[in-house]
Formats: sequence, structure tokens, C-alpha cells
Amino acid sequence: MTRIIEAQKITKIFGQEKNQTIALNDVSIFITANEFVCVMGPSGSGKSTLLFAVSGMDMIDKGSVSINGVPLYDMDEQKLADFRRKKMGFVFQNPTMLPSLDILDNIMLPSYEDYKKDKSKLSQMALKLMKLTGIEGIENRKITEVSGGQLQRASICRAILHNPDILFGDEPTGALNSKSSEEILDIFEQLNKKGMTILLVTHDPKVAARAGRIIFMKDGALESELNFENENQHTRLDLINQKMSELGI
Amino acid sequence: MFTKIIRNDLKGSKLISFTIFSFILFASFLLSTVGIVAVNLSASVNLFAENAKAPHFLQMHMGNFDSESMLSFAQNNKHVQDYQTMPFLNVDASDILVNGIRFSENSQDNGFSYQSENFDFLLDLDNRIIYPKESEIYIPLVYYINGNLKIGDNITVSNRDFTVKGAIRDAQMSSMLSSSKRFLIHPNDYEKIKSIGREEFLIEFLLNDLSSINMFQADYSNANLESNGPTITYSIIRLMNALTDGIMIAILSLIAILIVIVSFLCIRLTLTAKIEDEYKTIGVLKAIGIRLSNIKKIYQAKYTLLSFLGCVFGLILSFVFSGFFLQNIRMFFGENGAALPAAISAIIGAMFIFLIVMFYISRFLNRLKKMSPASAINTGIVSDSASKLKYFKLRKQKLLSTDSFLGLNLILTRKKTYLTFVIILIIASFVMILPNNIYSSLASDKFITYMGLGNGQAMMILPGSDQLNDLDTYLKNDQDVGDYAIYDNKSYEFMLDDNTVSKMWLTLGNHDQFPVLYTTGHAPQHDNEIALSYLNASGLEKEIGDTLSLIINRQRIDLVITGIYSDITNGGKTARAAFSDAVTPSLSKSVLMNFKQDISVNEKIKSLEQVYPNAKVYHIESYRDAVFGSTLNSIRTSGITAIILSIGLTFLITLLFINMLVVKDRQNISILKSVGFTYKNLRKQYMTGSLLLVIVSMILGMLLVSTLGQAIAGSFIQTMGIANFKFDINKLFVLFIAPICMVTTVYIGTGLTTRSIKEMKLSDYIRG
Ligand SMILES: Nc1ncnc2c1ncn2[C@@H]1O[C@H](COP(=O)(O)OP(=O)(O)O)[C@@H](O)[C@H]1O
Ligand SMILES: [Mg+2]
Repeated sequence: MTRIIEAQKITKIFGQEKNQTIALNDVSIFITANEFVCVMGPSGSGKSTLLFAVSGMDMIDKGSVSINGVPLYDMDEQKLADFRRKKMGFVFQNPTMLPSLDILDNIMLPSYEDYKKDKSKLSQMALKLMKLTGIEGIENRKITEVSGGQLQRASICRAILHNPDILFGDEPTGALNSKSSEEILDIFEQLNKKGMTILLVTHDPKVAARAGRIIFMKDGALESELNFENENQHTRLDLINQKMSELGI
Repeated sequence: MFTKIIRNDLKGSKLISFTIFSFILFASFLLSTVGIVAVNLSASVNLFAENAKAPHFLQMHMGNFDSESMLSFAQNNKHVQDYQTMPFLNVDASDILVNGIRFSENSQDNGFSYQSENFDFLLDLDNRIIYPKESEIYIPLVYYINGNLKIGDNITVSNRDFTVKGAIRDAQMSSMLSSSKRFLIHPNDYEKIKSIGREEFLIEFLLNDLSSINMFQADYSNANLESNGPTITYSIIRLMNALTDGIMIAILSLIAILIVIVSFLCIRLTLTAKIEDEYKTIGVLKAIGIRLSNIKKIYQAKYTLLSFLGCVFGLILSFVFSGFFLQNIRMFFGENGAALPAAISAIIGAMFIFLIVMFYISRFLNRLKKMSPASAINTGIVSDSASKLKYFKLRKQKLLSTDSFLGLNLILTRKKTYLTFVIILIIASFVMILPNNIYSSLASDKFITYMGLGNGQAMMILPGSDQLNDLDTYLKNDQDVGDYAIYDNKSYEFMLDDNTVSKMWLTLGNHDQFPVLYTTGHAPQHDNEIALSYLNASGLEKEIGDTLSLIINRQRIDLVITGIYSDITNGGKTARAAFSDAVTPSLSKSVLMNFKQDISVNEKIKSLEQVYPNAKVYHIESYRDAVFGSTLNSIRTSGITAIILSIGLTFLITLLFINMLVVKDRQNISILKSVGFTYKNLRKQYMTGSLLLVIVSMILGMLLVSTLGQAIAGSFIQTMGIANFKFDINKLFVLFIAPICMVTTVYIGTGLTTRSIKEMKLSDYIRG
């Protein structure tokens, strides 16, 4: 089993001298290909920071991160951007889309330059994904003309259009009702079954229950882990809730 | 609590507060300065004219002079208040030695004179009438300013030595229309050097009422008095005096006004951006139930403080720096004692800016009424008009790269902001090009034709009394002379519409050969045709196609007006016809000519003056320089100032705008960065936008210059009798240098500002 993410002793500090926050304190995590991992922890414990750090979205102060054996922080900006665009996908809590483009353009935006010669193929792929995620028919709408759930699904389409190795999510279902949330998790599960590695930050036990592994964080450090194999939904939720109340989440 | 909010607010947004403060300061500085300069100019010009008592009507005359009949004309004419004749001794520059070396300023008619008795006084730099002692000499102001001559220099004329004591202000000679420069000496000295030059007379009249000048002029020409030389009237003297600095001040004021507009646009923009930023705060204040009027007070207090400080400092600066702008005025027109009115107008200028800013802010804050607290808290974003936007689809376009497309898209989403940017860039290019167009037009060869002179190299004027039957033959045989045309200047009576008779100065000859500029119509070609100068035609209220009845050899002959041309010679009132008339005597002959190549114009002019000792020969280019030289200089100065100013302005504005856009767009930038766009991509997007806009603005600016700018410049120049003025542009500058300067400036400005994108942290704007 190959380690797709290898983060060694990463430290991330915000602020100067007096007002320093140590958001990540000597954290190491390893994620194997095709894993479905969730990160949980109290607010401010460093979950988002961890996600940004292992995906190369933010600089770190100490430590190293490799993806597929390639060290991230040795690359220059251009290479890192290319690497991220090709190998990774991101979904955030609040949909991040450009208000000046319609839904379909937004979905295809990151992949445009890579598919310059074959735009029609790209849009076919995008439309297929939209159908798969249940938002067919809204491709010509403005981002202000669709619901939050639809927009989040469009974000997922954007994140997976180029078939990335890893999908990162920072509370991707945090702003959705439970029905939409379930539907989106179904999509994640399918993607994972097809071989995509998934790393999600979440507050929601129901989301975490779908993962194979849960990492708990506290005060910028890893606190403990839960590994699931054949536990049923009910047992999983019990274990998670117990852990959460221990940590005061 | 409010003061606390204001204090924190000013601390938190130092840069924006400082920008707003600086623009208010700049605007108030400029407007106060314009006030000070304008008051000083008009006070100085008036005081100068009062002390100098410039003549209302001046006839230059060379040759014999019947002083008795002139005196009786003056005594019997009801318009005349005072009359005098002043001798003016034309001395060739080569006969003047400065510290033992020949004087080099030979483009002007240098001459000597003594102080007048009754009016047309020559003043010193403090506007006092000068009476030089023997062997003292006072020099023309231009030579003093240009440094050709200095106080203490030794000047030798006809073996007499003079010491330069100071410079003189000469109301009518520094008008330059005469292209003569007066040196002032003691009357005894004048008598002693008289033999070296040719004496000319300035026949000068002061009228009871300036408005009767036209009637007086008619009386004068009807009386058959001396008129071998140019006529100059008071209005032209006034105009030319004011013009030299007036044109500079006009250009500077225009620039100042435009910059005030720019400042306002920037104040508006920074305020909009600021308030958009504060929407959330305002929403919270509204949500917790604070009254709108109180919220307004918070902001009003802050901006009142900023604009008050800005205006006060601007005012102080304008007092500190006004000396720099007043230098030239003081030099040409002297002190004026208008310090108090100038200060008052400066304060009014600053107050005006203050009030406008206050009014604007109050109006702006009224917008808050429409805002619901919920919307402000929830979105925090007020986009320009994103919801009304027509969408352009990235997937449907094939020409542009993704970055260029997004760059253009950026413009469309921030239309209003970018519109302000474009307007400012248009103003900047307008400011950059206009003064330089005026300069290149006045400096071009073509401009001579606007002055009423044909476009030849030299013009020779001979008194009509000379027997000149051999003139044509001489010119034909002269190896150095190329094409030439001989004109006869004659005086004719003509019938006014009410059947009274008046006189008119008419130039006869072939007017197609050295054409002047016809505003409308064309040169007279047939015997029954005539063309009138612009001032003449508008004075007589005649148009093309109208007829004018001349009395030629006691016969009334109707001539059709075929053209109207620009002319500033001879007071601007002239006419041209093509018929021949051997009976009426010539008052003078004028010859326009070109020389063959490789002929030194100055040498040839000298040799012609030797052949025809009574003739005056002008090098036409020098004549133009003499009339417009110092005007050209001050236009060039303001032209260069304008270039520097507009480049500086463009640079600052680009920094301000792009910075503001980047800050406003940080959400979008983070999104793009998070999906794999790099700093380079983003910079390219902003670059596409700014470069496109600067090019569009430049083109619009050029169009504006050639329409509005031309109209403004034209109406200014029209007052001098030059009608239908058209720009003669310096293509290299307008089409090449200016655009390159602007584009480079915007390029550098955008490049510098977009650097902040590199430092922008994704995690700050996209939070889970
Ligand atoms: N841009 C930032 N500047 C300063 N402190 C920050 C910044 N981002 C996060 N932090 C701090 O780092 C810690 C971890 O934040 P974060 O990773 O967002 O927590 P979580 O996602 O677990 O809620 C918090 O204490 C937070 O205040
Ligand atoms: Mg978080």
C-alpha cells in the first residue's frame, strides 16, 4: 500500500512574537491511497490549517509534506499550482465560485488551459458529472440563481472534473441540510470506491461515520484515531459521539 | 463611543484615510493657487496698464513725416484725448556692441528711444517711470530675462558707451506685434547716436473713450495721414500682454480644474470602497438599533475631520508655493498690492472644496437608508451590478486565453470602478496632449498663414513713394531669389451699407502664389473679386457672396467677396484683391519670396536691405518667433509640466486603482488560486484589463483633444483675429511617444501593485 500523503512534523504558527498562535504543533500524518479519512476536533483546534498545509495551499513553518512521494514545498509557485490542479480537488464549506461566470464555466475553469484543444470534450465531461451529482440543467445559470446545495454540488463537480488523486473537503456539508448532505456523501463514497483518496474535515458524526479512519485533533496536535472496518452505522456513531463528548466538541 | 469608533477607524484604515486626505489637500491646493494666480494676474495687468498708459492707437511710420497736419488732425478730432509722436531709432544689431562684441539678437528690430512726455511710458520693474541719466541705458525685459544682457553690461552704439542700469517694461513693444524692442536712453544721447540708424515714428493717440476706436481708425485712414508701417491698437496690446502669461495660466488652470475633477473621482471611489468594506459594521450598528442619523454622524465626523485638515493644509501649501507661479507675472507686470484679495480668493477656493466634499459625503451616506441590516451582515459584498450583468461565456469564445478572458470579465463586473479609472486616464491623456498640440500648431510653418502672411521665407516692405519700376526685373535676375510675388498696398474708399464712405487698406496682386489661410472661400482671382480679413469681415458684417462697393478712380465698382482669411497684421483689418489699377498710387509695396537652396537667409536679407535702403526685410520665421516667441516658450513650459503631471497622475491612479481592485477582489483571487491559478495568471488578468483600458482611454483622450480641446484653443486664438484655427499635430509625439509613456506607466503601476497577490494567503479568505 502506497502512502499518498506523507506529512512529517509540520508546525504552523500564525502571528508575530506576542500574539502568536501555534495552529499546528509538530503534527505528522500519513494517508494511504484510496483511504477515506475524516478529521474532527473542537473549533480552533487546527483542522483547516492541517488541510491547507498538507495540500500545499499555505506555507508551513517547519516539517515537510510529500504527495505521491513528491515533496510539495520544494516546488516553485508555478509547479505547485500545476501539481495541485492536476492531482488534487478541493471543496470548501462555503461554495467558492466566481460571480461573473455561469455554473458550467465555473466548473470547467481550472481545467480550461489543460483542455484547450478539446473544449467540447471537457464540457461533455462536466455535463456528465453534473448529471451524476444531480444538478443537470442548471449549467447556464448564474451562481446567485441556484440553491446552496446545488452550488455545493457544482463545487464538487469542479473539484473532481480532472479526476484528481485526492479530494480535500473542509466541512463540505456544513452549510447544507441533512438530506442534501446525505446525497453529497453518497457521491463521495462512490468516488472513494472508484479509487479516489478523500480527506474531509467535519463536525458531523454522520459524515465521519462513512470514513475508514477518523483523526481527532486538539490544540494543534493529533489527539487520537478511530479506525473502522466492518462496524455497522450504529456502532460507529456511538464510538464517534463518545469520543466527541470526551473532547468537548 | 462614537469618538472611539472614529479613532479606531482612522487607525485601522490609515492608507485609505491618508489617500482621501491627500486628494482633498491636492484639490484645495490647486484651487487656492488658481485663485491667487488669477487675482494677481488681473491686478498686475491692470496696474501696469494704468501706470504705463499704453496708447489706444499706434501708427508706425517710416519716412518723411508732416508733423503739422498730424497735430491739426489730432486737435480737431473729437475722439482724441492726447497725442504724441515718438521717434524710434532703428539700429542694426551689428552696430550694437555688447562688452565689445556684436549683439547677436538680430531677429528683432532693435531700436533706441527716450522717455515719452505724456503717455506710453516705459516702466522699471517696480512699475515706476524711468528717466535715464546720460550714458545710462535700460534694456528690453526679454533680453534681461533671457540673459542676453545683464545689468552692468557695457553697450556701445555709434562710439558712445552706455552702462546697463536695468530692464524696462514696455507695454506696447513687449506686445511683440511690432517685433521691435526699445532701448531707453537720455534724449541728449539719442541726438548723438541718431546718425547710425534709420528713424521711425510712433504716432500715438490716447482716446477719450476706447469704444470709439473703430470710428477713430476710420477717421485716421480717411485723413490721408502717414501710414507707412503697421498699425497697432490698444486691444491688441492688452491681449498680447496678457496672452504670453495668460495662455500659460489658461493651460495651468485647465489642468488644475481637471485635476480637481480627478481628485473628486478618487475621493468618491475611495469612499465607496471604504463604505463597502464597512457594510458589515454599518449593518451591525443598524441591527442593534442605532439610528441612521447617528450612523451618518459617525462617518460625517470622520470625513469632516479629514477634509478640514486637507483643506487647511492645501491652503497653507498654496500660500507657500504661490511665489513660484507668480514669478513670471511679477517679472512682466510688477507688484500689484493685491495680496489681500488674492488671499481671500485662495480661502474661497479651499472652502469651496471643503463644502463640496461635505455635500458629497452627506449625499453618499443617504444611500445607507436603502440598506437592510440583514443584507449587509449576510453578504457584506455590494457588487457593482453583477446581477444585471450579461454573461459572456468562457466556453463559447475561442480568441482569448483564459487569463485574458477573465481579465476582461473583471472589467465588466466592476464597470463603475473601471469607468472612473477610464475617465481619469482620459483626462490624463487630454492634459498630456492638449498643450503640446497647441505648441506644435503655433510652432509649425503652416501657422504663418494664419497670421496673414504668405508662407514664404522672407517679406520685403518698400515705401510706395519710391520709384520701383525695376523691382520686378531685379528680382527676376537675382540668382539667389526663387519664386516671388509683388503686392501693391493701396488705400481705397468704399461705400458702407448706409452709403457713407470709408477707407480700406487693400493688397493687390496674385494671391494664389503665397496663399494665406482662408477660413472660408478662396483667394480673389478675377477683377471683380475681393477677400476680407476675418476681423474686417466681422466688423463690416459681410459674408462670402456679399458685395462690397469700392470707389476706384471715381467710379463705383461692386466686388464680390470670395473669401475670408485669418490676419493679425495691421491691426487685423485688411483686404485682398486681384484687379490691377495703374492710377491709384501705392502706399507701399510688399514682396514675398523664397530663396534658392543653400542661401543664408540672414545674409540675403542684409544684402537686399543694401540694395533697397528704404526697405524693411523680414525673415518670416523670425517674425513669427518675434510675435509668438515668448508665448511659445510659456506654452512649451506648460506642455512639459503637463507631461510630467499626467504621467505622475497616471502612475498614482494606477497604483490606487489596481490596489483597490485587488483588495476588493481578494475573495475571487483566493478562489482562483485555490483551483490552481498562479500569481502569474492573475497578474496577466489585471494586466489585460489595465492595458486595454489605457489604450481605449488614450484614443478617447485624443478624440477629446481634437474636438473639445481644439474648440477651446480655437476660441482663445480667435480673439486675436485668427479664425478657424486647426491643430497641426506632432504625429511622433501624439501617436507614439504619448501613448508609449501612458502605457508604460500603467504597465509598471499595475505590475507593482499586483505583487501583493503573491503575498495574499489563501487561508485568510477561504475559511472552513
Ligand atoms: N490567518 C490566521 N491568522 C491568525 N490566526 C489564525 C489564522 N488562521 C487560523 N488561525 C488560528 O489558528 C488556530 C487554528 O485554526 P483553524 O485551523 O482554522 O481551526 P479549525 O479549522 O480547527 O476550527 C486557531 O486558533 C485560529 O485562531
Ligand atoms: Mg476550520
